[in-house]
Amino acid sequence: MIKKFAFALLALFFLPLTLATPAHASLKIDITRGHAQPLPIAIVDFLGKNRTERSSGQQVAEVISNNLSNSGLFAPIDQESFIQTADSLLVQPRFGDWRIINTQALVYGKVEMQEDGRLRVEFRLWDVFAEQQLVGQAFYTEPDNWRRIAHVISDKIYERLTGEDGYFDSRLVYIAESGNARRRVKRLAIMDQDGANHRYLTDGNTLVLTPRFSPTAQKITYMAYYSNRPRVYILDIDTGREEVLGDFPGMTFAPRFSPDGKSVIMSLSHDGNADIYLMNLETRRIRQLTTNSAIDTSPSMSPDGKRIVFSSDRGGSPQLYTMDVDGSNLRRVSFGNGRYNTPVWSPRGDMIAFTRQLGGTFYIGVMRTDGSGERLLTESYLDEGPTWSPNGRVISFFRQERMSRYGDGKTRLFTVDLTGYNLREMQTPNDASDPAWSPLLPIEQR
Amino acid sequence: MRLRILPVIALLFLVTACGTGTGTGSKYSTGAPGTLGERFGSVVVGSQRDLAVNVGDRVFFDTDQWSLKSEARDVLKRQAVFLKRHDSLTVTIEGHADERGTREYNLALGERRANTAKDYLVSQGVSANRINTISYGKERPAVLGSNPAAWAQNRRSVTVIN
Amino acid sequence: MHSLQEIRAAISEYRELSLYEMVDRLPMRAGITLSAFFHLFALLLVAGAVPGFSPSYDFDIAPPIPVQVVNISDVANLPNMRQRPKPAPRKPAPAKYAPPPPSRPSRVAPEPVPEVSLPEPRQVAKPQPEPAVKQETLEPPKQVELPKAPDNFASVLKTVEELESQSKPQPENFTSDPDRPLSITVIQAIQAQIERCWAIPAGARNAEDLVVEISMVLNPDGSVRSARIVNTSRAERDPFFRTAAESALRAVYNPNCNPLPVPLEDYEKWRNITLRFNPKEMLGL
Repeated sequence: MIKKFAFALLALFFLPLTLATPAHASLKIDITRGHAQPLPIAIVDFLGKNRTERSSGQQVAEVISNNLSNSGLFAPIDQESFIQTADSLLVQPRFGDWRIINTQALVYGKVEMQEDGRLRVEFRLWDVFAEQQLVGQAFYTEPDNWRRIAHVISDKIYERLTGEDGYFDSRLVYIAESGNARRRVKRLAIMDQDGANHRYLTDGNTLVLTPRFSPTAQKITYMAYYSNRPRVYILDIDTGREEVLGDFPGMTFAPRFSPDGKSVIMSLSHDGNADIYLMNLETRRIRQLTTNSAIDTSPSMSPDGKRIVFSSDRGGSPQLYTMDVDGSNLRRVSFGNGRYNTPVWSPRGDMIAFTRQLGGTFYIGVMRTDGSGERLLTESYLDEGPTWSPNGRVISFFRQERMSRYGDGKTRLFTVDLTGYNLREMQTPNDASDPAWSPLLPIEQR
Repeated sequence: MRLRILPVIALLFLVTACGTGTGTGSKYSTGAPGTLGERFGSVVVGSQRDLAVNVGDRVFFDTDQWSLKSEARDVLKRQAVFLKRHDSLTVTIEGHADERGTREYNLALGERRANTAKDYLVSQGVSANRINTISYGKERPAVLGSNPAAWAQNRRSVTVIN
Repeated sequence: MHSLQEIRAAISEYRELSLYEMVDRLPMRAGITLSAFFHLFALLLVAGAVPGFSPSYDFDIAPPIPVQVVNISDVANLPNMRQRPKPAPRKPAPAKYAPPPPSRPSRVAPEPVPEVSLPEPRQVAKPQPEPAVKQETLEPPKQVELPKAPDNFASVLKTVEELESQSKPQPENFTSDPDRPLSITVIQAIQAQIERCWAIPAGARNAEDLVVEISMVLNPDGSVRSARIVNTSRAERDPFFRTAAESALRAVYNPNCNPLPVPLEDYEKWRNITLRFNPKEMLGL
């Protein structure tokens, strides 16, 4: 019995000799590090049949190149180094020519004036290594509106290569500042997100503050001191007409549209106490959402329209709270030292941006909607008032320098990526504050 | 003979001292009479300048505070006397904040400060419907500069005759 | 001590026995010795010290601990790795204006009377009606035979075909053992090279989920013959995953990181490689 057992054991010892497997199994290797270099992309001047079309084509390529480069995620390749000529491109790209100059993506297209007077711009995006067309589309609009097409094309490229929604076909409204600091002249101003098409919407005779876009980007709500009464107004950009949102006793301020555009949330201050109110734009009836004796202000609604984030000093210093749209389910979401203010819900719904003050320094920060994962993206003497790009990836805010006793010290708009990288100053004709970013502008399907 | 000139000279000095009428609270703290519009020295009685120069048109607050310090209460008491004296006047109390805060919160803070001052005046017997309030947040600094001294001057509520 | 003759006799006798019978006849002492020997053999076998008996299995090499510590903040300076601002010294809770007595009525009636007469809207700015932008989709252009410019890639492929036809009879000439795994140095070299070409998708939603596996077949000269995403169905559904997958593929196909630094004589060891691109470490997650 024991000997049988011993025999079996012996047999087992010799078993491996019979199972000689060849070493053809797939070698598995982990790659855990890489780089954060921007994607090299070649953007060829768009072609045209005549000088006007070719000139437009060059401008379109330039706008696209600047957009992609400013995002920090793309590195447009110097046109001087291109090997393949533009006309042969229209037939087919010669991928070897592009691989040699280290291009990974290729963009080209053409511009055509149509018989009906409209402009047609077509473009193609190619993956140079895979030798495949990724996107091919054409757009039509009024010739003067060519910049919008360049922005839309930039968005399509950005979306296909990053997986994120784009943000280039959008506008910013802000407060243009000038004059003596004791009595600043402040005007409503609007521009494309790259600074083009800049114009003023008010004349500066009345103090205007904190403008915000409606979801269609065709209306702006803001606070103004007409007749020395601080009130909330709505300006229709299409018609240029402005109207007051209710004439309540006390100051109304800090207005924002709801995501469906049908309501405005704001602060109403009466007898020194500021609370948050919701106004239905159709019925003009208002509903009080907070009843605390603390200062409750700077409300911002989530993109699903269900919750509101706001700042309140009911705990001693200003901190951030969220509540349902009817004022219930109040939750505190900021817990650090110092003060938290100007909260703004991301259009992606996943984060809240805010201004934080600690010691003598201001910070722009983001946190998840339950208050976790707080990250500070910028810091300076005074950074304030974040606003999200339509894809929730970039934040614009304003930065004010220390003021000398003569009152000088600049105030400018900046943008920074959600990762904290790519801090850039936005070009404006004068000093600027209170930026607000529009949603993507509408495109119609043909 | 020379000694008799001395009291005359002293009397002359006394008269000129009465004539200038400068210094805060000289008239109103003693309740001495003065008619609205009448010139008292270089200041028109019941004007904004009169309020600023002889009474004190503003009170100051600590950072993030809207409670009244004792000096503030003294100034507001004098303002109440002034307003009760010239009972046809109405005022707007402007509330302000320094630049070390965000825009909307500072608007609310300024409103708090204006209302605190108003409530105190009302408690001193001034009728509430004579007092309006408005907040300018950090939009209208009185003193330029990014330093604590400037900020202290800007955290204020100012009573302005309408 | 047995004589030589006795031993010879024993051996010839044993030759006619089956293995079972052989064992059955073992004296006690011999049995113990034999058992000890086999136990030792088994131990050595498991330790891999016996030549020709190393067990072969899929090489699943975890990344070796780097000798040179890479300062992550050089590459992805996410602000949450920066120093936290020092908190201000604790201030006493500020004295507040006394809250109003509870009996004070609510400030504004919850349903105020709707405005009877609103001021008329007035013109403050120039009208700016928005012109429409319309879009349509284009098909990829038809494939056309272009006169071929000298294409580096094509010439490499041709040489590879020649190489492959030559490489097949070679295995018998290998000096190294086909069953020994690829050395750590070679694996590190491959990692370092691919890492130079891999652009990490930072800032994407749920970036930590974007682990991409690329299965490659290499040519005998170390260049990539073919590479494919292992999870293609997810790439079709999820635009972020597709971006991450395309970024991994570009790392593999990039002419700057091709061919891989592999020992040419060990072709069978690295002919099939699966790369697992995992951004977690870089994103500080």
